[in-house]
Amino acid sequence: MMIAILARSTEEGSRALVHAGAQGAESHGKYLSECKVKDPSSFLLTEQGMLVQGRVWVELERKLEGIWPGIRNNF
Amino acid sequence: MSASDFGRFLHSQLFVKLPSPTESYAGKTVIVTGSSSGLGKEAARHYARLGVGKLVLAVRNLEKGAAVKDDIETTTQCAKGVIEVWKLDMASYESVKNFANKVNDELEHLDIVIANAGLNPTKYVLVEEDDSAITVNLVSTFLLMGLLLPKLKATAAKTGTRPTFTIVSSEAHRTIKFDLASVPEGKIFSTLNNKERVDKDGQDQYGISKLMQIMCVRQLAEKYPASTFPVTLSTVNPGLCHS
Repeated sequence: MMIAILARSTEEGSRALVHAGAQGAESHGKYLSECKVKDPSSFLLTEQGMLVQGRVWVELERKLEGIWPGIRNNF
Repeated sequence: MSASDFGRFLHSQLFVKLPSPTESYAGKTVIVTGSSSGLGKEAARHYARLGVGKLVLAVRNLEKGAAVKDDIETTTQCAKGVIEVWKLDMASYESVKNFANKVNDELEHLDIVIANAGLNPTKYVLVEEDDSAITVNLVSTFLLMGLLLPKLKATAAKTGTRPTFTIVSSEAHRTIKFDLASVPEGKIFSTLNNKERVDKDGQDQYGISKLMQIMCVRQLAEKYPASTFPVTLSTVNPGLCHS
């Protein structure tokens, strides 16, 4: 019900993807929504959120190294 | 979702119209993953319409991909030979590796990757080492990023442009119940790999995977700022769409 009324067409939604693919350095690391840079969840902007963010990447990088040794040097 | 988040969501869905892209993609090489349906298919159609040099539809099902290729060729009148359909199953690390090897061997350059392939399961399914949402949306997505970065960086060096790898994320990252901050050091993946919690709270795992995508892209830009890193990494929310 909510989806039927509120949802965009997939064609319109796909414009956001093409827009994101066309952005330059100013969008590096950013979350884009409505074809603009937006703040993500406020938790991510807190000191604790940034700490958790660092831990998530360390664990993911370790996992990726297990799948493809040396991949960390590609980043 | 808080009342203000919900208000923003309603406003966005009802009143914000996204502009249709008009720029040329002549000479560009673009990969769209998960492009046999939905958002990926429509993004691919835009690129074909806008004159893309080469478009790789990275799909699980090659037959479905071939039908999408025909459909896009018919509707956009793009030249034959522009669109290729390549196998990519994000539920298999091996498939991601094979796909990346093919990119490195066969594509002269690579300008844009739209990492759109994703899953929104409601039940726990073990895929590779983790629950399917974590494997597909997070681990394989960043495996793909890592394995394509050499080609993206080489393209930057060769052409003086700034290639982009963007991950399709979601507003669902805002509404998760799970408290990532409470997980002991080094135990994030093992804690998330909990069948009981996922089966009870299935929707949460999708939001967690989307939150972790955003975290990792932010962390990478923190470690490798734009001034020292020639490729743009980002996440994008398409909004709630019919699929």
